[in-house]
Amino acid sequence: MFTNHVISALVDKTELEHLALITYISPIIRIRNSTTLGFCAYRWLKTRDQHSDTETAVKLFANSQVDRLDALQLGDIVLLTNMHVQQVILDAGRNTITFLESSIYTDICANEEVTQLPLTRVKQFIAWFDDLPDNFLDIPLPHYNDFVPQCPNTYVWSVVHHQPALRTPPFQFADLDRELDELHPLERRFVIVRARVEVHLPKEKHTAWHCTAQLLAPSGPEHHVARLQLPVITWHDSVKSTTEMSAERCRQMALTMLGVDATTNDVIVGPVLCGLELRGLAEKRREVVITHVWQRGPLDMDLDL
Amino acid sequence: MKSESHVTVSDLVPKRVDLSEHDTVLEYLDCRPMLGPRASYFGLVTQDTVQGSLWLRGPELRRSLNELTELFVSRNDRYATLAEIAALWHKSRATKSLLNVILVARVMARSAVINFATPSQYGVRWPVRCTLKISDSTSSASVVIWSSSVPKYWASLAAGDTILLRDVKLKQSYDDPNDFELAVNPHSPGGVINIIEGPAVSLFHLPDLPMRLIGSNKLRY
Repeated sequence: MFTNHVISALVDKTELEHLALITYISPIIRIRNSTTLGFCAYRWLKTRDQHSDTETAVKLFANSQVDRLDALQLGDIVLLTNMHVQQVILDAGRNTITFLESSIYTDICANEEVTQLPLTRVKQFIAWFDDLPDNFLDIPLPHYNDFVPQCPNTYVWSVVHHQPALRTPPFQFADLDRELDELHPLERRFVIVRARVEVHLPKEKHTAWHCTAQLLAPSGPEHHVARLQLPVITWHDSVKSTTEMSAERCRQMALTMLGVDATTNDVIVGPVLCGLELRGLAEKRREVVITHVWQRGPLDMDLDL
Repeated sequence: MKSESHVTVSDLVPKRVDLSEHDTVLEYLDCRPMLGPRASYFGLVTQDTVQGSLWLRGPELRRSLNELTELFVSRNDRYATLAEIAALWHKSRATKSLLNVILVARVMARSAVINFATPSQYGVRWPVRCTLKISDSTSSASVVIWSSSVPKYWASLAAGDTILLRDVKLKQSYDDPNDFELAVNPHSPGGVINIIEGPAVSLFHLPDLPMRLIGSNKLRY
């Protein structure tokens, strides 16, 4: 057990290596980089090692190793070099989150590249790994998230790329509240729920690439405020998310995404399958973003439609 | 395989990425930036990181020390340490091309490829750079690899490699004006990097790659 003082000493520019087993892996998240006006890709990992029973949160940027970042999977052994310890202060200093973040010099090594290293500490880790019970990771069976088609390179449907490693269990609308309460302030979770979607289409020129919406329970009064994320073109230079677009264009994109045709400004569809990105924000605020809408699921037998 | 006596300096320079052959173009279709026969297409707004087969494997840079030594002795190249180069910098603080000077050091870290494309660099085919942190038995320094040298060297180099640098440029560091950096340029002068392999590497007494492994117990209150 270490004190705050020791943690504080680590939170500096000291570069460290992290050798661990991946126990959770998020989809790849693309964010705008405020300094370069470009995009950068990262994903969250949770890792375990032989030193304690707690998981370590790791924020891993692509660092010109996009192919390696893509290939990481649950249960992989990774060695991440040149990592930094980061702390985020929450709730006016009452709570802090400590996690590891990659630097521009971070190298991502996985599996055989790591196990072949002739280092004593690597051998100790492998010995611990070999002694783990078979059901340690308890990986669920492939879920229909795996069948979501990959976005082409030039387009993304949202900031989330759907990766085969993402395995979200089937989700009930009633569980959404609990899931939102459990959200970490920096966390993004992707879930699929069956719900009705009410979208308010804009009447005038629109600057945001989303529409206000409500997520309604398939049968019942429960609802959540959400927003419908419209497909954003990220490759073409002339289109930015801040570009103003006409109400008509916004309407067309939203209706295409919902898979319906309508002439009114308030559209209700469903029950349909909605791909949701649950975003944890500061000050315990939460955000629900509808990134996908499916009239029928890829695996109909699971969906009870 | 060429015999040692037939090796020339030009053989040490990796061949440029040649996209004139149709097959070669096909090989790099998955790359970002997109490559064409005369240009690479870096987005000026969407500065995505590099991706694809071009950045997964690089040209062969490995040479034995005997092979390199024989070549450089015949050219009257001079061996210098990083401490000597630092002293040279602090003496004059002037940009110098270190022609016929060779350095042997260990790569301690390799940065990601950084895209510096802006509208003013519109005509630059490879508006990219990457940085190596190197150390020898005397000191440490940063080596910045510029533009078209990056696709030649980035994928082939890794932390822990022992490298031989030749014809680099000594200049003021971009990050720290009081410090210096070594630049590997595609020309004026064209810097060359080779990886030295074999047991003879131990002759240089280079520092080991530090492993400061942090366990999960150190991140827990």
